[in-house]
Amino acid sequence: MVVLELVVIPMVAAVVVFSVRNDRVASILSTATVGFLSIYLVLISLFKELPMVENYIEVVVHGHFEYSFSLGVDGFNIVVLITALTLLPSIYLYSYDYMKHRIKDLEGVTLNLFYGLLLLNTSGIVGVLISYNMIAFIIFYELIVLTSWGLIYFYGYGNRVMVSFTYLVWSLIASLIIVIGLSTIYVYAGTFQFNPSSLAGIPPWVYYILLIGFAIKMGLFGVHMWLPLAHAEAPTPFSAVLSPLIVGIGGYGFLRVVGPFVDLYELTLVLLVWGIASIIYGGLGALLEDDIKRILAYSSISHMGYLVLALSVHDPLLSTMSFSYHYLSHAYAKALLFLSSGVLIYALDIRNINMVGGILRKYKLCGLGFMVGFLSLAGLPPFAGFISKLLIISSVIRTASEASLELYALSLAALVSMVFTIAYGLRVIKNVVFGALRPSNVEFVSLPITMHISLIIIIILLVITWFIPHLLLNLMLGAFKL
Amino acid sequence: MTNDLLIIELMAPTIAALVLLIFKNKSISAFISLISVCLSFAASLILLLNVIDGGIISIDLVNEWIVLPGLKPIGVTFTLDFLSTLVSLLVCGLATLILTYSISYVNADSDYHDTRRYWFLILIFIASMLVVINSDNFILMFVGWEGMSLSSYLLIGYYYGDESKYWIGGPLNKAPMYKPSQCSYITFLIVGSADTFMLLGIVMLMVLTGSPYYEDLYVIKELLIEGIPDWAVVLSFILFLLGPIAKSAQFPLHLWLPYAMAGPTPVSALLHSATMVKAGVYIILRLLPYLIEISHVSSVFTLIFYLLVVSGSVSMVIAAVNAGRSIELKRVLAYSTISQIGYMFILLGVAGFAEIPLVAGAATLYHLINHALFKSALFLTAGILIHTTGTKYLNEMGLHIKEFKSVFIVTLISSLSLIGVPPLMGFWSKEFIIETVIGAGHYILFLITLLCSFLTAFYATRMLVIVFGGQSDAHYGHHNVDRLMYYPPLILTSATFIAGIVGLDIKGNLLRMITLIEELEHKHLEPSFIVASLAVIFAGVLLAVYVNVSYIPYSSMFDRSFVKLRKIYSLRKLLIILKEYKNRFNYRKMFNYFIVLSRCVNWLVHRERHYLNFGLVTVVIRNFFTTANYLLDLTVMVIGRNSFKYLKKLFKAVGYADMDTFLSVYVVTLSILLTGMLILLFR
Repeated sequence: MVVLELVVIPMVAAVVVFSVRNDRVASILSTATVGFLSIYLVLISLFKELPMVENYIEVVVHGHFEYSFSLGVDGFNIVVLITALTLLPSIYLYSYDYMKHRIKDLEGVTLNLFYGLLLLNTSGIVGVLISYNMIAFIIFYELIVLTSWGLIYFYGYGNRVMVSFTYLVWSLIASLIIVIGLSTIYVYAGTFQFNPSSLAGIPPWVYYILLIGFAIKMGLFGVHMWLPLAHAEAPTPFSAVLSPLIVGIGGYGFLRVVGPFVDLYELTLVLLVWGIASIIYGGLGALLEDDIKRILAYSSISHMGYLVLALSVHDPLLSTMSFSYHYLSHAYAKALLFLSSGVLIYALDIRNINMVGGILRKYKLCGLGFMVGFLSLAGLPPFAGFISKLLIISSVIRTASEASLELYALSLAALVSMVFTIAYGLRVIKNVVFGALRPSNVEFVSLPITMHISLIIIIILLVITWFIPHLLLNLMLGAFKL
Repeated sequence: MTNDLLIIELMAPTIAALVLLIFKNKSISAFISLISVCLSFAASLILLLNVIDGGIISIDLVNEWIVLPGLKPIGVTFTLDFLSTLVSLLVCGLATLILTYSISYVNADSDYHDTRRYWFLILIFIASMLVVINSDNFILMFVGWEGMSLSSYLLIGYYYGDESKYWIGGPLNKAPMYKPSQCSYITFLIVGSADTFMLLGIVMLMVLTGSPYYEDLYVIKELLIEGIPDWAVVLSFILFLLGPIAKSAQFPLHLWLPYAMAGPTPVSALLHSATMVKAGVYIILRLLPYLIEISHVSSVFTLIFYLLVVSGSVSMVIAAVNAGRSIELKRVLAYSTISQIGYMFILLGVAGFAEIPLVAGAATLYHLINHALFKSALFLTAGILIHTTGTKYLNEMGLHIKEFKSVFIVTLISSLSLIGVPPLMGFWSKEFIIETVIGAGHYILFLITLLCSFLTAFYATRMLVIVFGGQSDAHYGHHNVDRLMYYPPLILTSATFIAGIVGLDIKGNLLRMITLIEELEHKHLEPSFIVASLAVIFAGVLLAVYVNVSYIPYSSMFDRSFVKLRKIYSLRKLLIILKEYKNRFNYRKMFNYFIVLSRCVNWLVHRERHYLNFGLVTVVIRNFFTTANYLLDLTVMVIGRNSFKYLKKLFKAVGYADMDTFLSVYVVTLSILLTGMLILLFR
């Protein structure tokens, strides 16, 4: 019962938080819960032998089908899990003051509802990551969708009813497609467990169906319409969860179910082309937007393209390494950026990057956050983005150079399009962080300590993960049982 | 022993950068950084003495930093030889002098009180540069490389508040002005993109050889013999070379260097003339033996050397012409830097065709050191001049020689060295360059070098004449300059002067150490080449004086004779032609394809203002994007908003409230899903 607690603890805490009326107690309780979870996971990864799989409910119906509710930690999910659980405490911490500020403008919602929903959401994220079978996977995925919808619906900005509904519709369509794909795999393989060996003999269209489903979840080019809406209008701390963690889980799902085990030339080609299209489209979108949160949303589309590039590698080790590390660096950097743009919304109530400037003068940490975040996304040392860029480039080129000339050319094209990240990142830094102080006749309120602490924690995480890639990668390689 | 020394050399700036963040006091942080750089200097000096006899020291600090399956583990490892220690000594020495200079420069700044940012960034830069120089594998080198890009970007944007006195370009209302934040943006956009290409090239090479270490590049030779395609190797090297070309501000990625002048002057002196822009030259110099070995096997590979030669010569001429047109002091110097690095690129390219390739390498190194000395001296004096007069435009300075004797002498000697007047160090390196170019049999390159010598003489003399052409009663000097700021340029200039007198010895030593051949048969250059080059220089000086004669003090005395000259030789015609050429020699107009590229960059840079009236490509991209976005948004509307509307109507008709509506939608959909699954399960 070691792995199950990762899911159960936040659920229990959510129930408690729902019933607590005091804002401060609710926030402290939920932050402490997630903090405990992250320490718990680190202890697991240090002292338990990985991979570790646990079966809980085992059902046999008339010999007709067998089912066991199994959860586990292995090489595929360890780094992604570590990412999620190290990032979430600082987001919880940040939410306290930000959401108190946000709730002032809303009626009939409380802070403990926010924290309860966020805890359930966290439970869903962890659950999807550690589930070893299709049923658990789908249930936890639906938990994520439902709670995300609630968070946007109750606390979002703008036309939040429409936005949350759009998100819900798209996610459910994606879920439907994924369920169809998974059930077909079950029909052919006869087991609900995720098992690479059971993929043999499955017709290729199943992979494409699954790819489309997960692509909607990831917001790749063409099926991304819900993503900028949802990211821009979600409450900012939740955007920091939604953008890197929840959207990236679509890619994780594809990695877990199909990913590197299938050696289909056409599938690789489709992945590469779709990845390039997403990178370019997201980059252009981020260049042409003026709303900071929409810029970050388009940047997420672009970076989901990188994750797809990592998925197109069909060496399991390389693919998982580059995927996980990019998931990690993107999650930290994007969360940092969302939290920094949250500072702008909290203090100035401005989202247009043309109306704000010289933030480095007044909010040093916020300006630093923007710079570190964008430079890490662009892959500069000493931030984790450098390692992930290196891993993705090297694994994609290695696989492509062994496969064929077209793939080689395509992967070069994909990697060349990395330039976009530099362009839009620098544009935001130029407008927001540098320049003369704008707006001129506004009182700059001082930031609460919680925001400072959470920004500092994430910056430190970004730097540390640059120094210790070998520890994480060795942990991951050791947890593989292939 | 050497381990510890190297650690001291690399870590002293890094640790100092972190330590000085604690103290808020200006002088303490300056003191800490100066001490650390002195430590580095001492360590690099001892290291140079250790390898002076041709030895090579390898040092492994961390063996496995990044482990990629199928590749040798990437470690933190260094190799010290004569080349690397000499260049690190140069970097540390210049850094010591320039940091001394910048104490009073930075402290005098009234707008930016917290100087810790300056010291932090410049120390991080020095550490990254040393990593680039000493590392023996591509990835570690690239880490330092990106560190340099980053610190350069942040130092150019040091005056991030965009106060109007820090704007460059202009003059106001006549030409566009650029804010420091814009300038840093442009700089990093070009350099950072090129760095991405460079990483791509590095990884392609790593995949080919299976190792990140330089020494394993020899594997490519065997691979080529075994029959891997030539173009893969050439393509990866071209991608790799885009990094050095951008970093050294060579054509076609040279546009950023003039913008980099928005930073503080010590930064321009250290990063953007003496050290960072030489990193590109250095890294090619480091790989030169491997490049030449590979080119012996593959004939296509000579393309690389042609690329270097073309890039170098084009940027050399273009930049020299632009230096003759600029009216900002620092801009003249920036263009001059591009032009001088062009010489080094030509030499590196010529190495592919020379009999003993490393002779060209030695010539490159010689010119690198030489240029670092005189150009940083020029920049430091430019800082003093700008500080004193309060203007950055040449024609507004109008200084009088008598009152600025020491500054004038420093500028004069450095400029003469830049022009290549004997017996200064610049002359010997020019001679060495011509000797190498002719030795490789490239007479066209010799002609281009002559043209560039002419242009160099022209712009350097023009700068001197205009700056020091003031009347004695001119108004200036509303700022006093700290005495400490005079010594570093003085030391650098005297180094140029003294080294010039013993110039031949330096050349011989460099040749011996770089080529590792004891007895090089020395072919003496025919004197006619030297005479030709000197004559061209003389012509350039004369022309500059002639065109700018009105700036020369007591020019009324000369005026009559010049008028006579003009009448006699009808030089007025020449002047008219020259003026036309001034307008016409605009490379943006000359290189048609380049318009598209520069406009694309510009489009990225000033999207807000310019995209409407720009060329075809940008309009197409823009329209494509708008159309695609519109269509997709339409889909969102149709699927999202309408379904929302109708469903709402539907559920309202049934009698649900809003909140329940959504929950029921959810439950219905979920049950449909589950039903589907169950049907599939018990089929």
